Amino acid sequence: MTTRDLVLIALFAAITAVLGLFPALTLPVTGVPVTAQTLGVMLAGSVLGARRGGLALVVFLVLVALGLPLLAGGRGGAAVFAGVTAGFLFSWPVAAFVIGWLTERLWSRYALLHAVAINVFGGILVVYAGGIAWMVAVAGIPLDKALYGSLPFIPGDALKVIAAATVAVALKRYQQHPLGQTV
Amino acid sequence: MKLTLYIRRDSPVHALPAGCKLCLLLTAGVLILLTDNPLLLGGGLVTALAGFPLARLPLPEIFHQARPLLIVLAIFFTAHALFTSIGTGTVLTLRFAIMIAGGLLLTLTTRVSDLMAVLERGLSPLAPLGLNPEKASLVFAMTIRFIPVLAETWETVRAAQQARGMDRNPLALLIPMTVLTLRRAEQISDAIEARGVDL
Repeated sequence: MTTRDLVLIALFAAITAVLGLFPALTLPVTGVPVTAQTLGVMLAGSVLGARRGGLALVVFLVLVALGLPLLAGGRGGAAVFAGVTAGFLFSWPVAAFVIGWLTERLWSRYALLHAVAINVFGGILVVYAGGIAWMVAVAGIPLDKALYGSLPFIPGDALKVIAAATVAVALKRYQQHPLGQTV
Repeated sequence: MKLTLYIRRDSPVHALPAGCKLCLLLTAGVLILLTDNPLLLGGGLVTALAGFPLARLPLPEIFHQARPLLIVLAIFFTAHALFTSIGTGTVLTLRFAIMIAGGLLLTLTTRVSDLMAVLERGLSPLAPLGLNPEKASLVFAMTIRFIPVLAETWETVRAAQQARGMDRNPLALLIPMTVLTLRRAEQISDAIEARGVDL
């Protein structure tokens, strides 16, 4: 890891935190807040690649666990990792890694369609798989209830996918994308 | 911007070393999985809650942090009571409540820097695996420093795009924000290396 890699990891962990400053919309039925923060997950993976993207989210979650109020709505601390919905948090680094890995694999052909598909897979499927698996396995919620409870978040996440994909493709086009720079 | 949840008080809970508190929390996490007895778990919850008056924490701050978690927990219990059984719901809810109370107590009574020192000590055995604790703590420190800087950058970009009537378009904010951040990464890593920090 070069110094630049470390700085990039820190910057994208910080971007994820800044995205949490936007007010969260808490849906009345399930209580899981809709936040801009998973956009940070998608951006870290799409822009930094697998290793750096995944690590940026690890750093972010460690800081949350240590007690920084970085989650949307100013929440933080060890307690949030003991909640019913903690599986969504744990899936973030994995999702960023998966998005980054796929982005690196498809880099030579990387265009908007690929970027959207990759972010749907990593940013929606992986995150929901982690969140729902936790609800079922740890919290003992029946699978169908966990699935229905998660559905209302799909439209917001679809918008974030489009935003993250457009940013990553724009960076590639303007030759500002870190994965396109041979250093 | 307040970047810590720590509340300074003069109490035995605050005086306990950070590593000790972290160990207690992890032990509690294992212990609650060993029993299904609601009475034992209830006792555990009372013990965890007793830490709050002992720590002399202000109630509003506790509620501000606990409220979203309590709402989810209440829905969770109701769902269990309706779809599985009240018994299972009680046991699972008590387990979550104990960990939430313990985690909250740790967060509100312990300085981030103290926990970070514990983390660094905890990471040092991993050095042979290629994890450099010095690099790790530099990244954590940089992230904490970057958060207010990037929040300011965001505000600058927003004001600039507002002047163009584009501040309602999220992409008009996100793209310059990301480009500025990537450029800043170059400047910062050059600055670190120019100071001879060898990583």
